[in-house]
Amino acid sequence: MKAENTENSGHYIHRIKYNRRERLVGLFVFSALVLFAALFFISSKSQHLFEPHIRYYMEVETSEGISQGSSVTFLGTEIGTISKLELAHGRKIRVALDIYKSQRELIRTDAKVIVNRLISLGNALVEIKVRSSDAPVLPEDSTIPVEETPSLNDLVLGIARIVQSTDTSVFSEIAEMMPRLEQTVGNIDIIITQIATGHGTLGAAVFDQQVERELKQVVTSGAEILSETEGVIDVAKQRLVELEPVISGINQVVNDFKGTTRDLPRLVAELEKTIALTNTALQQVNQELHHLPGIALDVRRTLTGAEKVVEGAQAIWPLSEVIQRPENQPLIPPQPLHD
Amino acid sequence: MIKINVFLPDISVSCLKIIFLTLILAGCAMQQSRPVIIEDAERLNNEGVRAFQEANWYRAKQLFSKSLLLYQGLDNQQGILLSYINLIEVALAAGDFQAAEKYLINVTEINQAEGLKRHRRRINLLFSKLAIKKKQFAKAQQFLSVLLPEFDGIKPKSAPDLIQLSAIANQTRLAFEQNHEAKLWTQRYERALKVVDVDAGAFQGLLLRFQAKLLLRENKFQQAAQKLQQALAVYKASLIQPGIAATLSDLGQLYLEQGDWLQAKHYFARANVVLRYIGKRDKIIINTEKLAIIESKLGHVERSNLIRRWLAERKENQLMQEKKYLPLLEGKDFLRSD
Repeated sequence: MKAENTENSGHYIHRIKYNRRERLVGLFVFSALVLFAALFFISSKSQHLFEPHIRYYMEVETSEGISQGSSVTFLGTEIGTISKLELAHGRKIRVALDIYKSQRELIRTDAKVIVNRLISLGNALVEIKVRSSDAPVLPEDSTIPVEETPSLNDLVLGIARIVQSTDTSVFSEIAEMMPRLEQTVGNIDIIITQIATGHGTLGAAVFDQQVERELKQVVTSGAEILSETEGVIDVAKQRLVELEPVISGINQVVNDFKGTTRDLPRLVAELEKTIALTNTALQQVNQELHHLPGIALDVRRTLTGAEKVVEGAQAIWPLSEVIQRPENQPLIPPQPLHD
Repeated sequence: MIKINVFLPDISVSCLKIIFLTLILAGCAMQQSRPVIIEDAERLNNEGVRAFQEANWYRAKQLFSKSLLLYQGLDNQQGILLSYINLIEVALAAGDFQAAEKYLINVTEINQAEGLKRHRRRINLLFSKLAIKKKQFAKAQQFLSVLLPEFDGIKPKSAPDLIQLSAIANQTRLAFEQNHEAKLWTQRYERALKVVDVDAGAFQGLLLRFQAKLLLRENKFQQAAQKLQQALAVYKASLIQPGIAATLSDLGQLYLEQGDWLQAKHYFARANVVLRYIGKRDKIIINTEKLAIIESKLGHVERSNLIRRWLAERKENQLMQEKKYLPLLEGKDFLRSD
């Protein structure tokens, strides 16, 4: 940049002269600014930065999974965002939905918001559904009715509560049965002892002395076995009491396992489908791989062509002024010996 | 297939179309396209020359070897000759005289068989360089005699070209080695350099070093040191690393002869760093031997002994490596065209 030294020739800006390189730099800077502005324009369009919106409200039981900036969808397409959450009367959360003005026609008076918290942990899908497209358009600032699904956490807690109550009732019934069973076994024991000692009508009327003696022996041993059995039952009872918490745990595990295995056939079917799809995909990939060497050659040829085009572009003004092409020198020039 | 929906204003699309059209037109305006293999081989040679100028001998050798293979695949004798000449220059610069000799034999055979006269003088120059390196001075003289221009006293009768200028430089070097007419040849070299329109720091730096040697013979240490500093500046400006290393070694030698041990040590150490970068082990060993002497003169006996032990180990290792790898290298000579 040069300024001529002529005095009194007006504002200094009129005396500045730019050389070709400075003009070229200016051109590049200006192009960069234009490109930046264009990209900003495109980005603002895709992100609805400056698009006006219409506000609606909904009232939910809990704000779990809903946050400021979350998308509001209609048939899977984003039509707005959640802009505000505040506490409302009746222990509810009032949520403001900003719908893009261009999508306003979609929100009819029979619209309903579905807050689906089962899609993923921590995030809810806020979707607007409309029954009829003939219904009038919902006025601004209206409150749209909501249908909420419980969160995954709530579901798990509910299931756990059910399992817990079931286990307690079963074991209390077993505990009630145990004393009665013990009484019954005691009664049988008394009867057998009476027979063994020859007392009672059965012992005296039916058997003679010899048979009585033999029978006594048999019954005595039976009584011994029974008393031993009683001990075993006592021990078993004690063990059962001790096992109660373990069984309770097993019960829970079994229930969990049942819950898990319920979906197993479906999962297996899906897995089979996935494997079949993967197989097909692999076959296709395999076929494509056969073409790879050809593709590589084509790519190389294309790149060579592109290189030539770029070299050609570099050879013309204004790039030729700036980019210095390396000199072609296929032979090392004659050299003296340095050492 | 992934579909990308990008909103572009119509005006941007039009601008892009204009830019692409310009580029395509520019591409079409280029010179006629040539076979890709030939272009690849030339590109490899060009890159090799750049690597050589950066003193990257290993990469230069790789690139020239690849280009040689491409030219051999096309039976392009002219290209083969070019690659061989480049490989010889690399081998000489790297101190691999065996390889240089082998390539020179191949080049001579090709040149004779094809009757290519174009590179005969260059081949003779290469032979002379190899002979000087191997201390075969009579043989070197023989090759140089056919290259040197005629002189009228110290003035060349005609303007020498680059090959003749290199021959004069080599002849001057030979004169110093043989201690015969060194002053005359230095003057002739100086005069020839003035006549030749060449912007080469390599030739200028070498002249200054020759002049410094002459001054040293006249015991003009101060002036010799000045000349060497000038040579160093010239080499540095032209980024000629072998020249920088050689001048630093010359300065070290100058101070060693004067008994200025500290200065000598300083320059030899600097020379070794540059030599290590360009991979000239033989020169490092020569300089290090001198460093061992300097350390003992400075009274650093332990350090001097340490350097001597290191040198002995290096020499032993080198010998063992040569014994181990030479037969392998000889068996895998894939560069020969026959």
